Amino acid sequence: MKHHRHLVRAGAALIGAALLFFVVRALVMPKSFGRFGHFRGDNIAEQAAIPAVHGAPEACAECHMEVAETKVAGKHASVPCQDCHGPLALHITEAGKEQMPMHRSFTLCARCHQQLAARPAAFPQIDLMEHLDVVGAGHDALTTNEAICFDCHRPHSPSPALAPGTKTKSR
Amino acid sequence: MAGAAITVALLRITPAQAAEHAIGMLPGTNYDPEEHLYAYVIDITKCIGCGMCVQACSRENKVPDHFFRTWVERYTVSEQGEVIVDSPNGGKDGFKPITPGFKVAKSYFVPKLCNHCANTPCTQVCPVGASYNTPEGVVLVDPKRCIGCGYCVQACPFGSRFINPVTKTAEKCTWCYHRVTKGMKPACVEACPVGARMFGDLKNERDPIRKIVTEAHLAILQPEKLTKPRCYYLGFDKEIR
Repeated sequence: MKHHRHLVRAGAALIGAALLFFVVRALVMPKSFGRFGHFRGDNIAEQAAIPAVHGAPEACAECHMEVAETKVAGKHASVPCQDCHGPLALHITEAGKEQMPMHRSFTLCARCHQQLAARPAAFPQIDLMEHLDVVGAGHDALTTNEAICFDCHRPHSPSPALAPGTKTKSR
Repeated sequence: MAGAAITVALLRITPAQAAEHAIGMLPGTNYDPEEHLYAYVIDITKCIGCGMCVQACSRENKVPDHFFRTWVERYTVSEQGEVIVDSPNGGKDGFKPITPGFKVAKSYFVPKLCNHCANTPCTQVCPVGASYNTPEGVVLVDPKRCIGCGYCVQACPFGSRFINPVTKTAEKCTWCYHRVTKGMKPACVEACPVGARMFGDLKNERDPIRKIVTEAHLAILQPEKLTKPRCYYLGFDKEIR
């Protein structure tokens, strides 16, 4: 009956292979894999822990109340601060307070107000060249004075326009 | 017998254990994923195509140049029904006037992002379990497990995924999971100056998104794909693909 030994050997090899499989599996698989589904459960918390770059919309007003009041009373009330000024993380850093980059260019204003067929008709839009004609600035004003919009429009409360040349740097 | 035992061992977890493991609060927060179910609504009639959302997304998530987690498309339709779709740099720098070569009958902007489908083709094809759906309905990628095979990029019918050229792993919109778990809105929603992008929690009774999702006339992208998107569109039009 020595033929039985073949079966015993094969059986032992199978059990050994199965054991090896589970040992390797336990070593290779991350601990939290499968806790909530077919993925590494710890990743949920890792993703949530990434720091935010943009601040909450009300964060700016905590320090810049005056500007926030001007903005809320004007036509740009719904425009988020960080759209034009950049994310809060550039301003409040681990090293302290940093100067916010200022994008004072007509291209910034044109992003919303350049006349386009695809924009909703009720949204205030201008044909830039036509507008320069109307205010009598001339077409080459854009190349000589990038911040030309701010000559008449206060960015935080752009309407009504001021007399050209009033040059309100801010507010 | 042995077969049954192996099956149980392979699953590693019984339903009773699964209940025990209910996610609970995320460590160090009072945020419980099981208490939320998010939805995203885009109002096409309000979008002005300023691209502030794309810019905010790329800054918030450090998206590499020329890749997009969200983008804005401009549809220009002629009187004969010809359609031109353009999205210069994903709309990140805004749009300039175009001359389509026909008389424009109508034109509009369509913001796009991951639809965070309930029935996701992208997570189903992941061979390493790197992509998954969270209990809140957010589709995420675990960058530590992703091997960058790109199956999910091909599987997504909406083109929402890409392989990050720096990390070489799949990347996509997370609905700013790191912001919403802190009680903020996704960066694109907070960047929109006209309220064309809305985001909220369907499990929160006071959230205005509930009224919109239950009562408004909403459309989804590519309904024939049966992916059950959680991004809904107001003011949808037949040309939109």
